[in-house]
Amino acid sequence: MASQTLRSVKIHPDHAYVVAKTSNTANVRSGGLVIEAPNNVFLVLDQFFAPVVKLFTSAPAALSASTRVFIGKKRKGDDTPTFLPGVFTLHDFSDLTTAQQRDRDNRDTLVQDLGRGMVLREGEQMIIEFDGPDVIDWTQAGTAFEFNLGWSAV
Amino acid sequence: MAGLIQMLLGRAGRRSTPAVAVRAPVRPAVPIAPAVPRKLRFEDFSAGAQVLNVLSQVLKFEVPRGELLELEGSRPFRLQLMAHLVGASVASSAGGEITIDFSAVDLVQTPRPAPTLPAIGHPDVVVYAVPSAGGTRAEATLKTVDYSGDSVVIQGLTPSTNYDYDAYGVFGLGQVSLRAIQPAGSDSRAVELFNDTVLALHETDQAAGLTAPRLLRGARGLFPLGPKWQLSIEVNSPASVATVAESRSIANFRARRAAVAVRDARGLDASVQRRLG
Repeated sequence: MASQTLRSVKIHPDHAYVVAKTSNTANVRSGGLVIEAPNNVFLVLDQFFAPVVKLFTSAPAALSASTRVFIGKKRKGDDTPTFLPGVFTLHDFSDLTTAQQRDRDNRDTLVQDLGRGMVLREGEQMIIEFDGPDVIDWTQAGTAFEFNLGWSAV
Repeated sequence: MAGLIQMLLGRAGRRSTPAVAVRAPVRPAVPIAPAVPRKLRFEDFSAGAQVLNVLSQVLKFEVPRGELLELEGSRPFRLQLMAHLVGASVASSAGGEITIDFSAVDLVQTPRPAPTLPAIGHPDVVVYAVPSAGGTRAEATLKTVDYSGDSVVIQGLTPSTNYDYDAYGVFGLGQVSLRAIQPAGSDSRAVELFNDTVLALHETDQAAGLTAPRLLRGARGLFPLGPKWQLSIEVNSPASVATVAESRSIANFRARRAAVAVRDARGLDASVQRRLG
């Protein structure tokens, strides 16, 4: 059980909790980010997901807007992650700059309903995978995939 | 935001006994799994049968049997339809360019960010060209996009060669409506959920939360569609509307779906109809 009230932690591709940041394979659900809850930490993902997203290919060109984003959870011993029912595309994000995406006026178009939230106990992983025609280059300047998780010490 | 799925589930947790024992009506369907989010994308729609200049179906999404879908009317949706122009054996200029005339459909500039031309990946225009004699079909580089003159110039083609092309552009002529259709042989019933001019739909900034279009009508902002019902996108326009993914058309509707065990199909259709009304 969590011994403290939740506070918020901002996850981004270079955050210490991101243990893998891989490029996806085109037209296959693959790659992406792996976020792992470290020892003695308890992370909570809300059902209503409001990330700031700006992703590029190695060209660099903006990632295809029809790319779908899958969010799942992998416990220790799981062969495959269990994905949340809510899947979204980058259409909502691709026309807006990251500054515009942080604008409260645009929240309505950006918040994604994942169907369920998720709790990560220590060692459990949140898996973010992408399915689209383009391959993500995480080293491009301006790349963003930011969102908040609830954080608590166990 | 109690929708039809919520109603069919019953009032879980609220166990007040009525003063007079009322026999509860039989629920026409019972959800057998929790409702989960479902986003309807352009790829989820199949082609309808468009008739030019008549309000007719261009795209449809059919709810699978044993499923109930609820559109979230209060949340913004996105819809960008593209006119499809076909060119056959059009000769490129000595500079390797072809001018495509969009004046029959009114080329419209959307507020989406566009790249500096010449470029590919333009939000409003996509052109694929292939030499008529055979060769590789490829996305053509756009040299200019002239909205007031309704013309597009593509470049980088082999000079003085005949080309076939498929050009897709955002158009402004006509009206668009979204309807929920219950197909019942010749006696289908339809409820209109949204209507607008094509120009207004395409000129609106659909990415911005303040201006993005919404359905916003009916019971509590949720629009249920029963099994085998269709969400129909209908257009009355002189433009032939593209139904293929290469046009980079956009549809994005927020919905929830639940698997249901249907006990009374006619009764379920009736309650869906009542809630759409």
